[in-house]
Amino acid sequence: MTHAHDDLITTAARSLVAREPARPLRARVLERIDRPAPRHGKGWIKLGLPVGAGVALFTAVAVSRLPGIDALPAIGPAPALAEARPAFALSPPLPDSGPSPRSHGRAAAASADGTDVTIVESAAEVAWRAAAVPPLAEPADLVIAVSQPAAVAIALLDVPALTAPRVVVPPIDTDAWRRER
Amino acid sequence: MSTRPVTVSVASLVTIGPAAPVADLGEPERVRVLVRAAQAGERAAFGTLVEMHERAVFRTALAALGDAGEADDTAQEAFVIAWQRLSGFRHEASFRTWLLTITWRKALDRRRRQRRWWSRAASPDAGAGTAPVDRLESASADPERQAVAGDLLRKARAEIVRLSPKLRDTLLLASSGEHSYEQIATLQGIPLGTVKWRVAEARRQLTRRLGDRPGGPR
Repeated sequence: MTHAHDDLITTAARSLVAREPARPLRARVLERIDRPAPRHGKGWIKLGLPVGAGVALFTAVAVSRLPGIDALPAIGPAPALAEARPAFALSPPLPDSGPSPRSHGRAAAASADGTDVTIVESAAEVAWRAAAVPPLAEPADLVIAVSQPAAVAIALLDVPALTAPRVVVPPIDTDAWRRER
Repeated sequence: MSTRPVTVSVASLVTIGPAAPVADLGEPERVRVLVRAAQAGERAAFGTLVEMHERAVFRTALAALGDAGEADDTAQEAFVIAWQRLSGFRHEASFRTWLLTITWRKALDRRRRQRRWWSRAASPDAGAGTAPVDRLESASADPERQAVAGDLLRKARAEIVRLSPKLRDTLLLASSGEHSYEQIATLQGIPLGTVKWRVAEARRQLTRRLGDRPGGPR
C-alpha cells in the first residue's frame, strides 16, 4: 500500500462521515420528549406484551379452537385484572360478515363504556405487533376482543391466515392498572 | 419518565464542592453528573448531554446510513430512546458508549428498512462542497490537479461504498474521528482484533481496486 493510496482512502472515508449535523438537535429532541404519547396507534405497543399476557393469549386462543366454541369475547392476562377492568365489549358488535376489515381503516371506534378502540386490520398485524413489543418485567393490561379468534390463533401459530379477521385492541392504561393494584 | 417531576438540580449533584459549577468538572465526571440529573427528570441536563454528543451520534448514524438526512432523523430518534431508557442506565459502561450503541442499532434497523442504502453517498457529488477534502481541493491553484484529485476522490468514495457492509461499516466508524478501535468493537459487538482486521482488509481491497483503475495513484 502506497502512501498516496493510504492518504486517498483516509480522505475519502473521512469525507463520507466526518460531517456535522445540519441543525442542532437539542431543541428538537427536547420537543420530542416533552410531547405526550399518542393515545392510539403505537402508544399501546410501547407498553409491551408481557410473558403472562402472551401465555393468556395462547391459552385463550387454544380454548377458542375447541369444538363448540365459536367466539372469544375477550382475552385478559389475569383474573385480578379482569375484576379490575371488565372485559371489553363492542357496541354494536362487529358483524360476522360485511365489508372488508380494511374498510374500517385505522380509525378509532368507541365501545359501550366509552373506551376508544383501535381496529387492527389483519391477524398478521396482530402477530406482527406481538412480535414487535419487548417483554416487560410485570404484566400489562392487555384485553383483546376478537370476532374471529381462530384466525388470530392461526396468525399466532405462524400459519398462513385462512380468513381476514377483525381484531379490536383497546388502548392500555398500565398506570391505572398499577394504581388499582 | 416524561411525567416524573423535577426533584434534583444539576448543581445539587456536584459532590466536589457546593460552589463548583458543572462546567468546571472533568468530562467524564461532568457527564456522570448530567446523566444523574437527567435520570432524576431534569430535561435541561439531558439537553446538555445532547449537545455534548450530537456530533458523535450523527456521525455514527451516518457511517451506517450514508445519508445526512437519514442520519439526522436517526440521531434524534436515538436521543429520544436514550431519554426513555435512561432510568435503566447503571453507569456500568460509559454513557457515550451506551448512547452510541443505541444509535448504531437504530441506524442498522433503519438501513434494513430502506432501499436507497448508500445510494446518495455513492453518487459522484455526494458531500461535494462540504467535506474537508473539498476545501483542500479548492485551495489548490492548479485546475488540472484539482480535477484529477476530485476524480480520484470520487472513485475512492465509490469503491468504499462497494465494500461489503462489515468492512465498510468498520472503516467508516474508524474514519469518523469519534471512536477508538475499542469503542468500535463494543459498538459492533465484535473482538478488537476483528475491528483491526476489517479496517486493514478494507484498505487492502480499496488499494487493489484503486490501483487497478486508470488514473489511480502510483
